[in-house]
Amino acid sequence: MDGFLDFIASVGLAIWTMLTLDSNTLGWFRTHPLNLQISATVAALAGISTLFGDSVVLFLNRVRGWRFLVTLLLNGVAMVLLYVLQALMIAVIGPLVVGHTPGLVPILRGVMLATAPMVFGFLGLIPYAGPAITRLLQAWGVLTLWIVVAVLFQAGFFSSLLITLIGWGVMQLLSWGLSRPVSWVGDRIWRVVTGKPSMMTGHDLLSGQMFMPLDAGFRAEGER
Amino acid sequence: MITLLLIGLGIFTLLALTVAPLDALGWWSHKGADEAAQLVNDILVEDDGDDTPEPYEHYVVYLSGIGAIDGHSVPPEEEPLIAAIAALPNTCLIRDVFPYSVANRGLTAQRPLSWLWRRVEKTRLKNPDAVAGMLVNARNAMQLFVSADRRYGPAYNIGTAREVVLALRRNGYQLDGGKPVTLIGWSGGAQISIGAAAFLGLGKMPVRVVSIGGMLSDDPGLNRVEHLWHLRGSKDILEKLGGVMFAGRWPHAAFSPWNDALGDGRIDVIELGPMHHNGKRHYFDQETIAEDGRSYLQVTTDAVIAVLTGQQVKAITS
Repeated sequence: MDGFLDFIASVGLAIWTMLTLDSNTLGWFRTHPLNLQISATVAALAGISTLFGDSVVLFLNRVRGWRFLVTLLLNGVAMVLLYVLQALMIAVIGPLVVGHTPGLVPILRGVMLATAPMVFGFLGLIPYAGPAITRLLQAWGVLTLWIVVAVLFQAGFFSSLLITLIGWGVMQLLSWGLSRPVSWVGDRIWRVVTGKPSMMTGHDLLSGQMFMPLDAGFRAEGER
Repeated sequence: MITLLLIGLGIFTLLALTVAPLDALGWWSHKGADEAAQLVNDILVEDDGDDTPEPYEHYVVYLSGIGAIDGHSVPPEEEPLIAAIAALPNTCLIRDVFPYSVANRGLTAQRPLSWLWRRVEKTRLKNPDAVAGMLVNARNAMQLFVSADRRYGPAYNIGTAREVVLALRRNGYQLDGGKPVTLIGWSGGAQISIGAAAFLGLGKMPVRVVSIGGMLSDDPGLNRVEHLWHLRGSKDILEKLGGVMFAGRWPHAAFSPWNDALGDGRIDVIELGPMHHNGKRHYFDQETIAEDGRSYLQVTTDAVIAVLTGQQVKAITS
């Protein structure tokens, strides 16, 4: 029990260290015997919290029960893959910029730890201010990644910034570039599984044009 | 100790804000989408074949401020205004829509925290200025932001629009008849009014809105409002906050329904006098007397009646 509580306290301390952007206290983390587990826990918490914050679209599309959980899980897997890609990109770019590498595992650990601000991703649900809070947390995440990269590569201000921006930028590009094909595939799967039209957004609703559920008999003005 | 209390209060507020949209989202997810689809079908109908004449020429729906506990339990200070509107000839006043719940479910209805709201209601009846009453204000204020949010707003506002339509129909309103409907919203009720207008105004219903010290956003519902009269006090900080917090209300905001409506001349901003939002010298204050001899309550009531009857609003002159 004490070990478990110690672990929870260590996770809390790791999150606090990241939130305060305090690179000096990262030393204890590097020597901690469970640092991989701690960083994985931080990333998992960040993932769950972020996905909960983004779950509004699932509610709007009436995704409930096990389908809600499965969708959250699939989105979580996609998010983990993106962060792994980010770590790989940093592992490739870092040595090119500074001439040495701390190794892939420490980089992966660092990238997971840098997701700490997204532990508060659930605040994205807050009405009106939620999207701005999410952007703020994402920006904070870039700063924590910058700190982590600087410590991992023992790099200076600009070198670590360059590595961070390339790693982060590639992840954003991939996320943006893949969003349409992934949506298309998701849309097809949605139609096959549910037999219903594709997911809708708040804009669809507000337009006064066609919106879900079509099976309730509503037709667009143009179709009448 | 005080720091800990403040931190605790901050965490509680954040959590309360986080779960605030779940009421509307849960409703939408379970049955709201079906009910909403039916509502839009009904609103868009050209002729429903029912030619029963409406018993009134004008329908007015009163949406209370954030102090309301349900459609019937509004703060007593609002009652004189409600009575004055009800006395207008040929006008049907509807006051049983609770704007802070998509399903018109009062706070003391079947809810997990209904026991708390019942206790608050009792406390407030004994002492209208009780701090516990602020809990109701805080809870309902959060729903105002749900209505103003571009993600949740459509689901929330179609829910309140549905409740308004049901109430109108209970009073003989024909959706294909084109009789004017005026939504009067006090404080948060004003934002809910323009939100609901996005759907009410889809068909033949001419929708007008009277805002009393409303904390209004640049809601897309403004595009479907025939006219908005925004009555405000010069010392009302909360009303002013709406103009600061909601970026779409900033003077040069592009693609803003608020600025579009202002440009079209569909918004009249009318300053009533040096009224505060709440506390002392507020819109419904019967004890503060203006220089022209009217109480602040009378000034507000006169202004609303003037708008409803197409007369000039008589503000406080100093």
